[in-house]
Amino acid sequence: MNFFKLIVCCFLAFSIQGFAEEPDEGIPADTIALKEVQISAQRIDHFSTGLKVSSIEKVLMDEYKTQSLAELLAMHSQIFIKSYSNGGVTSPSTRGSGANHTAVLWNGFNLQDPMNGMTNLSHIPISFIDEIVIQQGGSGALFGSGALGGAIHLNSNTPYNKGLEINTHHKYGSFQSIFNAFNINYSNSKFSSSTRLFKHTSKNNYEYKNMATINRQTENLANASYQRFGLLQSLKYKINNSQEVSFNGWYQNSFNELPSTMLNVNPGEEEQKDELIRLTAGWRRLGEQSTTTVRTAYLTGKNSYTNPTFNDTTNNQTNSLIAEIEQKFQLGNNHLINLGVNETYETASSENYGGDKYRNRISFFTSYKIFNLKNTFSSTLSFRNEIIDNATTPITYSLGIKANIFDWMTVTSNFAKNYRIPTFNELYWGNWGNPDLEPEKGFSEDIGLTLQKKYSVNHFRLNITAFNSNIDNWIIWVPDHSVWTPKNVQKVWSRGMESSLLYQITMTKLKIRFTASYNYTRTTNETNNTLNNKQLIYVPLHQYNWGISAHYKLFDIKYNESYTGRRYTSENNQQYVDAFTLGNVQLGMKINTSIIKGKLTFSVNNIWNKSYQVMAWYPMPLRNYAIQLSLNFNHK
Amino acid sequence: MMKKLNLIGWALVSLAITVALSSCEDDDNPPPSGVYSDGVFIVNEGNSTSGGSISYYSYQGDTVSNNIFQTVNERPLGTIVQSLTKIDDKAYIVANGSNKIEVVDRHSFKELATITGLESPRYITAVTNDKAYVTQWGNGGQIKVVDLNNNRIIGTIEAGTGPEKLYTYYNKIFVANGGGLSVDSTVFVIDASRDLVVDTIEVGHNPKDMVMDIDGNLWVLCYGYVQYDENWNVTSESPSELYKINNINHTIVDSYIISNNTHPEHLEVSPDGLSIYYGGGFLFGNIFKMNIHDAELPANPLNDNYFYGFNIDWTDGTLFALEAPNFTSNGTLYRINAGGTVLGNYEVGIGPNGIGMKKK
Repeated sequence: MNFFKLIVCCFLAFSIQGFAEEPDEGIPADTIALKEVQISAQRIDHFSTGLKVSSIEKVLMDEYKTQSLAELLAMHSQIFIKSYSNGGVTSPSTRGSGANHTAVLWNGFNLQDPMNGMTNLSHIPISFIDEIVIQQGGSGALFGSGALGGAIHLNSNTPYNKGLEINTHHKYGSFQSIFNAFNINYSNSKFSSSTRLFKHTSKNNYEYKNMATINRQTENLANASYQRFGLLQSLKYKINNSQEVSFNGWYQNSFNELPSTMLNVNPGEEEQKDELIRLTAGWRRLGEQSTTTVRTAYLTGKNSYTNPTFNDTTNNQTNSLIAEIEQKFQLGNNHLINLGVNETYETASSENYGGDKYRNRISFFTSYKIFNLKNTFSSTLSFRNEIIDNATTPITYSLGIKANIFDWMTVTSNFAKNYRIPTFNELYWGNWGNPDLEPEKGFSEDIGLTLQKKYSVNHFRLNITAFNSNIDNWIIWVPDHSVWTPKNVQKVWSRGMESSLLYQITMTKLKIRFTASYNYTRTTNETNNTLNNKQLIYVPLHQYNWGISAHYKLFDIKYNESYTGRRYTSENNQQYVDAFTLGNVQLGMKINTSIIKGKLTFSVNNIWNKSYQVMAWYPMPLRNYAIQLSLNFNHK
Repeated sequence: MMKKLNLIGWALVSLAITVALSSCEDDDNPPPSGVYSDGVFIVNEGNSTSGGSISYYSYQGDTVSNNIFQTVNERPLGTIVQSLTKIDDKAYIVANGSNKIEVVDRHSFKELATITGLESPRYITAVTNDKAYVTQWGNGGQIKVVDLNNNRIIGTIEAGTGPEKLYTYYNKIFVANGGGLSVDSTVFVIDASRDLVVDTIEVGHNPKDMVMDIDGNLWVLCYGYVQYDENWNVTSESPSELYKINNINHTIVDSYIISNNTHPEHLEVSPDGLSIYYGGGFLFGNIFKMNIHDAELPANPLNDNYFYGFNIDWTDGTLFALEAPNFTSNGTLYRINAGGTVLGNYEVGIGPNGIGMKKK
């Protein structure tokens, strides 16, 4: 019962976020990760043993400060990013899973929309984010419903003791894309404040070749402009050596015109407005043997969709109130235990539901980790049980192992049971929502091998991971007499491998870096019908990225290429969207004066001028250009 | 595969042309033939991602070829493919979701032109040798007048709400104002030489389809009006009805209530003009057959299947009935003889709704 009192308390309290943590076991870093990051969502640090986890390097994040998470992940991750036009609505698909199967957590709070389970990655500016950790594979026991295919962990976390720091980021690009961001940070040894603003507008009226018309003529994309504005305020205060309180407030509004597909000869007229407020507060006490974290969040999202053709306006609003308390303690030198409870109250109001809908979710979670002194071996066992409006869901669990066989070789393995509870749309949409839906559930297994060697100037790392995942009760909309209704009818089997390679040479003035990754994802429908054994739509079988960069003194040049294989658009695999390869080139110059530091970058995107689509008949831009300037002023 | 089919297609077309040229002396002037001359086109509405398609049933082979527009022209047809109408040697395919009409040679299916400037078009019918009418839901319901020589829109006639099918009787064009997403209860009569509405016939709620029987009476199928609340529960519904209308003076000869809570969308007439068939659609699956002189509607359907659409091949009276199990997987064509016996079933595209053939 004490837990519940604490939950109530923490609504009033403030708190948390990344101190220098106890030295962690280190994220089994992948290509894109160079340095271990101190991520404040501590569960991923300490209890993700055996999961495939990689963090996005800070240098790479700096290059994307004027862009969104969607653009960064599309070029530099093994997640397939579904994009419905440049800068438009975007959702992630990890290991062949659906758009609502990848949890996006910000400072540990799940941002998935309770109505549709999705997160629009175009609405997450990199300038608001300080750390990104990508985790491929299910992790329901650690992160709850929604993390069925994977999770993206984002943190906004500014350090102490930096004095006054001003960062600005500016971009001017093709299609009148204008981005400006201002970050003002101030911190001393006890207090840290970060204020960040951004505004992004784009006409987005790019040219494309319309392959669906009789003359295949070149057209300009119509009704595709967007504008976004956001404000983020973060505050942290150290009460004493062991306690910290923190607060984050994120406001953002955006307006997107929604272009029509190439198949429609008339320009689109639809548009969408989104407005969100995210408030989080936390308190953390770091002891010698134990850490207590209490935190709470209020997440709200409003969106309004207009379709003038049908004189249709839809307004939706969601609210989530989340409170979480977590206690971690070490027993002796080899055992770490975590106990926690999460309380989430979600509401949604939409004209498409019969009145306001809400639900109360309580999850109990625990992890036990055993490790040796040198931290060359560790294993974690985790459990979670979620109770929704007094009805329990099946207990989920995971077991992970990590072993450093040699100092240059690490083996990881993980077994997990995962789940996803139905979204409000699936439960209540119109007359067709199905309130009797059960959670989706699945098992996933993976095994990974990392080889890593650092010499004086060379650094080499190779990771190969094989995975398997079986999902049952997968919810799809199926016809039932004359209406469509969601049902727990699909079985999906996803298996494949992911590999990544890094090779880097660092000399005094010159640094050369080569990265590559390849994914093979076979995701098939295992429902016993005519679609049995067919690849799910929009899951590319093959995907790869590679990049090479050279840094010489203040200058650098980079080339990155990303290949996405054929994606089926019909369930019987008769129709598909062609594979595409994108190449981007960047030329950068550092600015290094005593007062101001920064970087000027010139980029050419889609340098091979390829006509391509990510989603069927939504055109993407041909070759385009951008010039970017980042400035940093620091006064201690 | 596509390339190969194309080559065969071209070979056959060339052969057809050669044959046609060499037989010029014949006074019979046989119809030009091509790969797609001897058969029936099936219209598959498709879904928003995959788009619609046209399938082709060949009498000679008793087989169906799917996706023929894409195969011949190497591009997608469009979304929500609503209808196909043959006018002379051309086929006009209306893609409602794409707001266009694709014009193809109906023997080779080779693309010829695209008619644009439309908003939610539904059906096209030739009204003179040079002119066709297109019904569209956009702008409150209109009829666009198309010049068939250059495929341009040359005029607009204001229609009722959600105009659907057209029926041409000499110079007189009947337009069923189907109500779209709301309600209308009228059939317009248009003078095709002046492009003017000359009469309005009041019928039941939401007339969707029309045929003419042997006596020269126009039958009008009214869908009924179904209203939903914000929760998509049915709050009120008016019955589906059949109206029999004198085509000269436009008076109502007779009317029948079909059902208070089911709503058929399609109406057909047998080749001899003595029977009508009604049924099919989203909220009404069965097909019923009735003699035009019967006083009562039939009690039992032709068979137990649920069909999304159907038409009759007026050359032999075969029923082409189409089953659309859902809008993500392929549908099925059933060929059924006048007695109700299934002659064969064939896989077609997603959401089949008709065969682009209508008895005049």
